[in-house]
Amino acid sequence: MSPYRIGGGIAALVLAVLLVVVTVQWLRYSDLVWPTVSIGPTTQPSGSSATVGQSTASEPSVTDVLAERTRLQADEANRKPSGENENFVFQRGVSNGDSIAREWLQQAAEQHELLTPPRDVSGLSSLPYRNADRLEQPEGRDWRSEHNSPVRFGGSWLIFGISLALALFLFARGRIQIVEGRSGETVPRFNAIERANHWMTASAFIIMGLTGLVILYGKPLLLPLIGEHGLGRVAWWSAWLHMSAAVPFVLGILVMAVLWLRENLITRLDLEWLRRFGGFLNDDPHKPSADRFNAGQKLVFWGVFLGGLAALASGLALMFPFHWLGYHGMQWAQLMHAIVGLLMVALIIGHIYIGTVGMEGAVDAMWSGRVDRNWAKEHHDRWYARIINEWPRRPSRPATPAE
Amino acid sequence: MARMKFLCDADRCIECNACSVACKNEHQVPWGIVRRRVVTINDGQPGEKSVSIACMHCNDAPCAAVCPVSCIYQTDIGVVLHNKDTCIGCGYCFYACPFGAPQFPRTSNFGTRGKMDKCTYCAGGPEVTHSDAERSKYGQNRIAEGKLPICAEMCSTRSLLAGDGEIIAQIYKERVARRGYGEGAPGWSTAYADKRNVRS
Repeated sequence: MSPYRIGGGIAALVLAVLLVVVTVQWLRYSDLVWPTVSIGPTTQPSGSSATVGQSTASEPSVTDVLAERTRLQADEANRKPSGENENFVFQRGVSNGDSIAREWLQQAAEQHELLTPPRDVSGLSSLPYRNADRLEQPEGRDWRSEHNSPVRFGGSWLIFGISLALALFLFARGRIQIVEGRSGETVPRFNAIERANHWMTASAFIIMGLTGLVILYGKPLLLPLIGEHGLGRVAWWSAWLHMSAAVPFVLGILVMAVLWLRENLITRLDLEWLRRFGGFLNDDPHKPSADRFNAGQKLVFWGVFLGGLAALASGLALMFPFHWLGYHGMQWAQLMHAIVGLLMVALIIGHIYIGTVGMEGAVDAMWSGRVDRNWAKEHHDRWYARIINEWPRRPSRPATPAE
Repeated sequence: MARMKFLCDADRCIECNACSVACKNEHQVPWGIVRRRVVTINDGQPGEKSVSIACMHCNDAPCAAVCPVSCIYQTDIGVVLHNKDTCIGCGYCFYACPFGAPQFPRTSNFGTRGKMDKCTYCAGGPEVTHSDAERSKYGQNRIAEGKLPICAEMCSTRSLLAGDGEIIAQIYKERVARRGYGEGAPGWSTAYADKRNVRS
């Protein structure tokens, strides 16, 4: 068994466990917000109060003080509060926050004669600010549950799922070899501009992918590790890096479109390629025909290009909130941005896999720019035939000028 | 434990905007930010009503649930507060908030967003109570002094009620019984009773 297959098997096991963990978490998920900070009287050193003999019970509780104050608002009331300038402090930690939150919901439901059905309400405000005229938008809660549950868990399912599928493939099939072995001679595949642009886009994408994942998964994954302060700093940098990296990324996909769009138009060859899954499943050297880009690469191209444009459109909306979208629009823009981003992360995981671990000789195309003749012949026969005619017997090593 | 709420009696609000002004003054709220505002519905038409609105300090607060850095937290009297030091200005709380409460000063990020600011129920923030840091970031901490939010306590028609939710509901109900009409509590079903997202 090759080390690749063993590695694939181990990765598959780990990913399967992660997938189970995510699924269990999803099933048990409740994001009820409950109190975490309590308010109470200033804590006095217990020793000193005992000496005075003053019982702590005579200290007015927050509840009593605020309740008395609340009653002063009744119409007939023309009274003064019994005391003023109490001194309460806030402290971290509420022992039974969960049950308090549920009790509050229960209490509110009992006030049914005061409750009116939730609805969108807009009116008129004398303030010149955007959205100042909005009184109520109950759909914020819907957006919250969509964002927190299907998108967050669906995204982790997608990422772990695609990785598990790749690991299982590696375990079952091993690395896709060049069937005839390396010939030792290479042909040029991507020129310097193409490679530079690819790596600029790639590094921008990796930055954006990781920083985006910090925003989406920082709370469940990083918060327990680095704390609220640490997460705040990491997320602040992430938000900035995410937006900064958008510039080279968008530039990169535009240059890619100029360089590669024509060669990525869908042709009849692609159906055959997809039907035979690129000949990846066996070691038959007669793989389905492909020109410079096969259907798999076209999938990556269009995924990155169209996904990138969708992410750009929704991302711009998020960068300039409410400039051209309302509440619903902003909520949809955020959901779309998260979903498109997660789909692109999944796509790029596949792309990185097949470009490095998954296939012998594939990484050379983007690294040195030259690929082995046999690799080219197997995976891109039409393109290979074409360039061989254009550059007959081009040597693998750079030719000296005298030649 | 008492659960603090706001209740605006829309039949009494005269759109004087004193609540907004008192809030701005009490907390020295920066230019461009209003923690409390008055919205008039059906302006100039029969059935015109004005409602004073700010953060309602929701049960199961959606802003806290979506905050990617967990900077929004709730206290055991129901007040929802936030930490400006960890806030990254992403704006998610604004999309989630049913009442448009979070405000963003235009100081960064392409001139659009800085640290979020919103009504604190006059309860300050995570800094040391009554410290200068707390005052400059979040405003006065009246709750720590045993007082209720300034907007409600100075409302001239006592339209805006604040304090223990059970008591203000009782005050409002008695008032409605006496005068014979009442609109219900604006926003209460969305803020306090929504159970759509709770799985028990």
